Amino acid sequence: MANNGKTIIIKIKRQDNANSKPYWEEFELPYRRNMNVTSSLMDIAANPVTRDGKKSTPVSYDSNCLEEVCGSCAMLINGRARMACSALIDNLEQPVALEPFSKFPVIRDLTVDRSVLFENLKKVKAWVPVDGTYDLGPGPRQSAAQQEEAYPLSRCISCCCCMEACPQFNEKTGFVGAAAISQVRLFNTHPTGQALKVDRLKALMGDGGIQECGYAQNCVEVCPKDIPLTKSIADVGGQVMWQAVKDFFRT
Amino acid sequence: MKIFPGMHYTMGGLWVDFNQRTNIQGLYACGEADYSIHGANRLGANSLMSCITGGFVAGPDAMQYARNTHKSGHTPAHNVFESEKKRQDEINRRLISNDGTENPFLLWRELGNIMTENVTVIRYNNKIKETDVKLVELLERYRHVNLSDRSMWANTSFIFARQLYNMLQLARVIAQGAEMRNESRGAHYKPDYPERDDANWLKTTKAFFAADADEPRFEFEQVDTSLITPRPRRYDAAT
Repeated sequence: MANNGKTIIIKIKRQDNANSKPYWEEFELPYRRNMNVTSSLMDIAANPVTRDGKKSTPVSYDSNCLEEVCGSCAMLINGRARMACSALIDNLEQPVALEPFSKFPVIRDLTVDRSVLFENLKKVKAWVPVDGTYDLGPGPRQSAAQQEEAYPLSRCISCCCCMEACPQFNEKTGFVGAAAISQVRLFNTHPTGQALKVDRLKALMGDGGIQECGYAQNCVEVCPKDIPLTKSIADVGGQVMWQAVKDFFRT
Repeated sequence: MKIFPGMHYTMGGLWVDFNQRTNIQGLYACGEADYSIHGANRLGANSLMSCITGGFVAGPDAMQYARNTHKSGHTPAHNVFESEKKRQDEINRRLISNDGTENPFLLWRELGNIMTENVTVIRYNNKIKETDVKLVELLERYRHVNLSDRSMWANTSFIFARQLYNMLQLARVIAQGAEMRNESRGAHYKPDYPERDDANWLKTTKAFFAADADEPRFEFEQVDTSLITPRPRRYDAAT
């Protein structure tokens, strides 16, 4: 592709390992049409020399599908939580600043440990229970209306953008995060999944539960799959409240 | 909308028997990783099908194999694992300390460029021959690779460089296999040989790595046509 000498500048907040201090590095890359952040990181790997001519190392980052459907490449790009593969350089303010997600432990450079999401999904039993002592057979059919409601929720790619953007998601609150709450809504509406409805709601009543949500609405703003997260939180919040009232009037 | 031909699926893969067992004891392969289902071209939606049927067979068979091995005590001797681990440790040690001038990511781009140019949709024998020569050159340059990153923690260059070696050897299998097959069949199209040649090429190409020569060696497997007689593929008439 033709390069008229135009370059772009990327500055990256790097960190060598989980315990070392972060430091910034700047790279200058030849501009190519349709560049995105991931392709820029690949270009840096092909020539890992900083803007001041210092020899550096390829940047460590997660990447897989390159089509914004796996959730691997989530990072802070110009301060905003988003996927690197769909962040087109043409649409980003220069110089482009890349940072790892701030609310998760850094492994190296831009890779972080997001396993807290999976622990939270386990806590809220975000699955349809089919493992038992006998074959349940085919599941019940769902209506088109039910499918319309469930499908958007099923598109979650576990990227953790919602948790990164959420002001309530931090060590002090231990908040479970919008993604896990939305998955509770999805599995509570599933005809077979609803067998675990009470368990899920009870899991959201304790520490770090749904009461921690502060209605900032950052989550739905950054979700790359446009999942109606605030609607899910409102819906599940209502379910949790009803369950708490029922529990209060029963022994 | 812009489009470009891209790598989407591999029709071939690891050789397996009808129980999805590879030629290495205890190693199974199923789905896109195995060679068994699609032949020269895969029918649409059959990728999912081959995953599911492969898994249906491999899962129970693997369980059975594990139980039998445990009962009979016929596990490979402990020193087999020890010596392989030593071999891998040696590869790692050489790779991480290598003081050459080649950047593995740049080698990878050259590999991608030449394979995309010469060994994808339209194939010519002279071009494929050039490709194999280039691959040998890249393998030689690989020996002088320098990982700018020597860290032993989350070192993506290191993981990538290990994979790159396998990519180079596999590229030779693809290129040489394509060069030998002088016909067009399924996804393999040679304008110089536009027709199918059932007499000579109704067979599956198999390759194994000849470690002593550091290159692939080839064998062929006849295709079982006893149940359905092969006929010309025509889109303009019902056959």
